[in-house]
Amino acid sequence: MSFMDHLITYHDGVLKILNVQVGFGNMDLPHLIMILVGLGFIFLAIKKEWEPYELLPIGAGMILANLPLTGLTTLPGPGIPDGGAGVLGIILKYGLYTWTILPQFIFFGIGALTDFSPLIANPRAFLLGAAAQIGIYCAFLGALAVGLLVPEWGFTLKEACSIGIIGGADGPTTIYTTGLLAPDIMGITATAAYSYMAMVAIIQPPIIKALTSKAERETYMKPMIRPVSRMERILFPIMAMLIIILIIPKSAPLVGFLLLGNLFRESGVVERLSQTAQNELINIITILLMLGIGASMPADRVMDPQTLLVLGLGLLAFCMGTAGGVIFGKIMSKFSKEPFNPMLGAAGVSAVPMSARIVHHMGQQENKRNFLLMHAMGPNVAGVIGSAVAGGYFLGLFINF
Amino acid sequence: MEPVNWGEAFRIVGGGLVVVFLIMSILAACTHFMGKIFINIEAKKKAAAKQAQAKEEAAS
Repeated sequence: MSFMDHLITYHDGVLKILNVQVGFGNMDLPHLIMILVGLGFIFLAIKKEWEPYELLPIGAGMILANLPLTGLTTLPGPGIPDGGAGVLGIILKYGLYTWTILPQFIFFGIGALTDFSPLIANPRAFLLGAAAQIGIYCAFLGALAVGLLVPEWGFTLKEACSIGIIGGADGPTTIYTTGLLAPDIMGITATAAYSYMAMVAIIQPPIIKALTSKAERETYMKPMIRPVSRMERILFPIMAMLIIILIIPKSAPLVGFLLLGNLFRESGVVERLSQTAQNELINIITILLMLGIGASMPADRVMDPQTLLVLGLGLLAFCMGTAGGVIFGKIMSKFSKEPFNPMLGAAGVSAVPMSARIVHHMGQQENKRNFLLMHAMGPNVAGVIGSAVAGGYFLGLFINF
Repeated sequence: MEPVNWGEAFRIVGGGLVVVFLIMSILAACTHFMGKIFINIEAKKKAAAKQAQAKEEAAS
């Protein structure tokens, strides 16, 4: 063998090693786009402070999962040696795909963080929380209608349910429902839900303004709501849990955990457990869940028109939910004895507390005397229950467990 | 891609809206009546405390 042959063999060997072991050689366009999207999420979280607790780890998860040859997203399973599965793969498999326990523990923490007093003091806010779920069903029909226009882009019933649930503006409900009904689009639907929640301040005000007159937005409401006794706050989660789960048993994993967390908070006798649920537990689960969501965004589907459709339909669901809430608010204002500001309906989407803050802020812009925050928190927390009920209803149609 | 069964789709939508509004209406009604009961109990407690105070004042 000549010197040149040796050199060529050596050169080929080096190239082979580099091709296998160096990420640059294995980077393709879809993965590069996903990394750029991940960087975009991190930028929005840090620079704009849009849902930083969610978008930052989602962005980081996207980047880590799409860097080539890391093996981070290798799922544990038959044929994978011990220690061969990646950490993100383990989170995905056991947290989201097989056991689906992470969203429920997030709900547990949310329950421990939520004060239902504004809702207990003003129970008609439940109806606004229900009306804002209309967006879920509009997007569901919209997703199915796609198949009429372009059959190859069409969605199945389960996928349509998963897309519709984005309209509830509730991250854990979206993740849980999609994880069980259509795991392939879970990453996209969850990212859409959290992104739109982060963009509440951009999405909701134009819809509210388009559907209400200046006089309606100026409607003054007394800032005080009636004080709610401790016993009412304790009885509420027990009563709500029993009623909802007896009607829709499949909502138990979400509603049950939400209200259990709330019972811990309101009972006042398990302060340490309540504090853990509100802080350490929800923080740890948020890290795992959001990294998992970021890692579950499939790069091979990023160029797929269906991905853009899911994002578009999710936005439609969110807008229709807001519109449904405002229109129902207008109806309620017609029948209300006391002055009632119809903007409160927009807070029925369960983006807590952003939607309530938007309504409060818009109320103050129109009438400096208005202080709508506590009024808006009622429909806002009702929306959390409403979207969990809608998610449980969808699960009950397709899942037997 | 299987063709969409629109009858089933609209049944799902109808059922979903009915279920969400039904549950939320029941919760609203139960919460309203629970509130009424507790407001009454509070009012009775206050009235009893007032009466007791008035009796004490009359006795002294």
